[in-house]
Amino acid sequence: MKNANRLRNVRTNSFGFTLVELLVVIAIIGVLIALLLPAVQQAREAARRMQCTNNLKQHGLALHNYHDTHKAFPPATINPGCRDCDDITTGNWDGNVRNTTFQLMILPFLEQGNLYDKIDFRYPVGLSAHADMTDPVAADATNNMNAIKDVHLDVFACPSDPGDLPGTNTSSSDHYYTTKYSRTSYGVITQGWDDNSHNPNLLWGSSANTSNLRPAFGTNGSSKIRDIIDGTSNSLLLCETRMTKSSTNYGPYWGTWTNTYWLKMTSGINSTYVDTTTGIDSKKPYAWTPGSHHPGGCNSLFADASVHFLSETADSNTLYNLAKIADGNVLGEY
Amino acid sequence: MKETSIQKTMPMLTRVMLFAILTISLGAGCLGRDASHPDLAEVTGVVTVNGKPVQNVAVVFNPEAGGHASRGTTDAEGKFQLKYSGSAAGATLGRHDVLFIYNDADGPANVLPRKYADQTASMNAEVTQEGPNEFTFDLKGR
Repeated sequence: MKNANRLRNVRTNSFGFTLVELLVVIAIIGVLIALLLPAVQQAREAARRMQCTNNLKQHGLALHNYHDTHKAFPPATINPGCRDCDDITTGNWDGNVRNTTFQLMILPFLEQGNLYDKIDFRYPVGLSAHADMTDPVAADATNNMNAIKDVHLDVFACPSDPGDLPGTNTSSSDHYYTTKYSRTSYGVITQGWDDNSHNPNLLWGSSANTSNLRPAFGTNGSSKIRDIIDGTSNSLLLCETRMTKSSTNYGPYWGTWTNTYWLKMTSGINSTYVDTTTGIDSKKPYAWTPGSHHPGGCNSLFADASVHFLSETADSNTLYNLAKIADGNVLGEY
Repeated sequence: MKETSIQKTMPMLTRVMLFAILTISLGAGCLGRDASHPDLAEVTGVVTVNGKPVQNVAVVFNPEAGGHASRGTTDAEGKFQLKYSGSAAGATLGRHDVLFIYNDADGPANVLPRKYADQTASMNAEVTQEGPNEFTFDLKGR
C-alpha cells in the first residue's frame, strides 16, 4: 500500500507541472519576447539606414562618373535666385536666374536619363528668386517645371525620414517657390557658409571663396579632384539632413534651388531650433542643419565616394575640417 | 511524507529565487546609464554688433582642446545661453574659439561681418568651473 502510494507520487511528479513552474515559464517567455520586440524595430531601422547609405553611394558614383565626363564635379547650383547675387560684380546672372541644381545634372548617371532629356537647361527649372533678383519668366520655366514637379525619386530620399512631403509654397515672387517639388535628404555642405548671408563666399572661384575655407561644391562651379588637397577620403561632398524643419519652406529640394538649399556644419548635427522670441524648443532642426532620423548622427558622402556615419557628438573641429577641402589641418577621430 | 514535502518546496523556492535574480540582473543592465558628457559649466552672454544687440546670431563655442561644441542663439536683446546637447546646458571647461554666424533664413543679409563665421577671425573665451561665465562680445564691422 505504502509502495503503491509512493509510486503514484513519483508519477505525478515526473509527468505534471505545478502552477508555479508554469508561471515561471510563461514569465521567462514574456521577458524574451519583450527583449525581441525592440530588436525587430531596430532591424527595420538598420535596413532603412542601409538603404540610405546606398542612396548616398549612388550619389557618389554618379558624381564620380560626372567628374570623369566633365572633368569637374557639377556646380551645386547654376544661376540661383539668391539674395544679394545682383551685387556680384563679375559674371552676374541677374535677369538670367535658372535655379539649376547638381541633382538635375547627375540624373543621367542615376539611370534617370529620360527625366534628364525632358529638361531644357537653357531655361529656369523653378521660380524662386529673392526680391533683389529679377524673377524668372514663368513661361520659360513651364516645360521644365512640368517635367520635374510631382516627381518623387527614391534615390533622393532617406527611407527613415517621415517628412517626405512635397513643398507647398506657391509664392513665385519670393525665394521659396517649392510647390509640388520633392524634398531631398542629401545636401551640399559647408563649414559655416549659407545661401542667405554668404552667397559671395559660395560663388566658386570668387575672391571671397577663400581656398582654405571652401567646400567641394560652389555656385556656378565646383572643385576638380585635384582641388581637394586634403585628400578625397578626408573631405565631404554631401551630408544627410532631416526633411522636416522648423519652417516648411526650408529645403533642400532636388528639383530647384530655393533659399536654404545648402547645409552648414556649424549648425551642429541634429541640433534643434529654439525660438529666439518665445524661448520654446521646436524639437525640429533649423534651416541648413545636417542630421537624420537614424539614432546618433547622420550619413555623409566623402569625395572618394565612400559613405560614413558622422556622430552628432564628434569633435566639432574635425567635422569643420571634413567640410573644407583644402584647410591643411590634421584630422582627428570621427 | 514530511521529507517529500520539503523536497517539493525547496526546488520551487530555488526556482522563484533564480527567476527573481535573473529579472533583477536584466533590469540592472538596462537602467543605471550615466550621462555621457564631460564636466560642463553654464555659459551666458551678450552679442552686439557695433554696440547694438542683434537677434538670431548663432554663437558656437569650439573647445580648443578638441571635443564637442556648445551652441546658443541670441534673442532680441542679444542674449544667448549655451547648450551642449539637447538635454545638457553649458560648455566644456577651458579655452574656446568662438564663432558667430548670422543664422536667419528670413532676415536681412550682411547683419554681421561674414568673417566671424570662420575660425581664422575667431574670438576666444575661457570657461571656468567657478564662473561666472558671462561674456560680452562686441563685433565690429558693417
